[in-house]
Amino acid sequence: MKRELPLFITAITGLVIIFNYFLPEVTGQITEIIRKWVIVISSFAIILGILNLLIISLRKTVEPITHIDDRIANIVLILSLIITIIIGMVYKVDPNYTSEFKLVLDKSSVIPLINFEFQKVDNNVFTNVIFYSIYNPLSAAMFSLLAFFIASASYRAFRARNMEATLLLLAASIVILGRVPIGDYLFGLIGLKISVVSEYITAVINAAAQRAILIAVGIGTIIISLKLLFGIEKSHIGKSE
Amino acid sequence: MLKIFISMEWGYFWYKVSAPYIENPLLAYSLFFLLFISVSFFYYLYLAKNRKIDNIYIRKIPALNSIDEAIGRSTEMGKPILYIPGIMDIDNIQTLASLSILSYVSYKCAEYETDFIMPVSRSVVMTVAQEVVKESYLRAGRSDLYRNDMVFYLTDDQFGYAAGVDGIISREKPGAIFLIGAFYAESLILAETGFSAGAIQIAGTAMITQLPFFIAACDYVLIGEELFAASAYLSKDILDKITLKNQDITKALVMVSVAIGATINTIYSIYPNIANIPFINLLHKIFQGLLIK
Repeated sequence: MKRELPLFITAITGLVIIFNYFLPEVTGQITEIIRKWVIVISSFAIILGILNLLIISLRKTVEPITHIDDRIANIVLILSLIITIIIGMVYKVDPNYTSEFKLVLDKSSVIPLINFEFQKVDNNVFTNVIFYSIYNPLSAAMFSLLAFFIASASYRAFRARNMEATLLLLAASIVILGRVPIGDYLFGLIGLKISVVSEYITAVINAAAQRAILIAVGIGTIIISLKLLFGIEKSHIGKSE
Repeated sequence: MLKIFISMEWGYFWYKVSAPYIENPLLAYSLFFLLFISVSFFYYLYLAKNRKIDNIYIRKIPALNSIDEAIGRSTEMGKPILYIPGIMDIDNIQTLASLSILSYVSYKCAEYETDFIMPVSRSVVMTVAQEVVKESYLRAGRSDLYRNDMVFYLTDDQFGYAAGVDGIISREKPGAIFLIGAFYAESLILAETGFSAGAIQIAGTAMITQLPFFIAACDYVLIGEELFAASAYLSKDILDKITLKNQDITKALVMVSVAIGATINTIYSIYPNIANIPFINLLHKIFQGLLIK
């Protein structure tokens, strides 16, 4: 019963959503209703996640075998979690934003200029500090790491170790040169417009390969959905062999 | 009178059924493909159930063959296995496909007595993954090794999760990392950190924009549909495996449609007069419909 009930619910819900997609006028807004249920269930599950995080972090903090780095990270996590929850519950995020003049860097000009701009600012000093002064810069810092990782990954990928890697290097060089004015200028000396070749690689060769993957992904998605609907695929609820 | 009423009801019903198809004819193509896939799905299931097909040929997928090798290497090195199921919720089909592979990976970890770490970014995925891992340990007869903190929640935030997982990789130095599921911009951040930790990395995603990053930074990659074929590939059950046959038949249909459509549209653009042949004109209309986005 532990397995049969989830499989039954999956099958019924899935079939209802499929019918709703192909017969929207007959079956009404049932997909929207189910989507709302999912949001409600997910909201409750967040509490479960936070409790799990708190229990595991507390355990790691008090366990004597935990490494000091790990312990510090866990203490910071627990404190951040508790402080954010308390501030959020006591002060709330202020819905009544006020407008303020702020100094903003104008990046549109060649030389960066500092302009005055009218911006909406949250008055609450606590939420302001947590979200705008701590959370946003940390998120941006994490995202900015991507630029350096792209450089290191490209360096490895573009080494001409074999035929495929050499082709990749060649294609990448053409695309890179095709996107900058100097590429057209240099290849123009031998009568070649490299931006056109670059465009051809991106718009035709690359797009064709991507579409092939996308079509196969679409078919794979339908097949795995059918397997889930009809109980052939049971790994997600615990497979018994 | 009753007859008229019934006919009116049916008329109204058919109007309701056909209205979306008149408004958007592409819906009919979707319905046709779904029906085709469904019919062939049940046909092959019927053949497998009645033992008319016992075995099928499946081409080798290096990423899936290397799972055992990666876990074995970690076991020898005494390092844990890190499994990341992507950052999307349970309603994403890639997350569900990832959980199927998780079942196999955690089973092997239980067999080899290797430490298993799985940070997740969605609480619903956490509860489901805990069940899957627990069941795998039970199946392997090593329920004594299972701990509830093997699968734990980190955060729903994309870069918060990436930072948390990067921290785990740096501290725990896993021997093998599985990045299987739906990923966005954090894919390369995770894969490059894993590379710098010296782990064998097996990735799999259907996110077309993240595939190049995984190919550049990981040792083995499940490309697109291979992710969905993984559970059938790893399974010993013919009912599971037979769905791959169905997938191939559908792909063949799509390939034939693309070839016919491209040929007819090319001929039509060169010789527009060919539209005077009714059959060609009909085919052109059908395949032109497929090209409309």
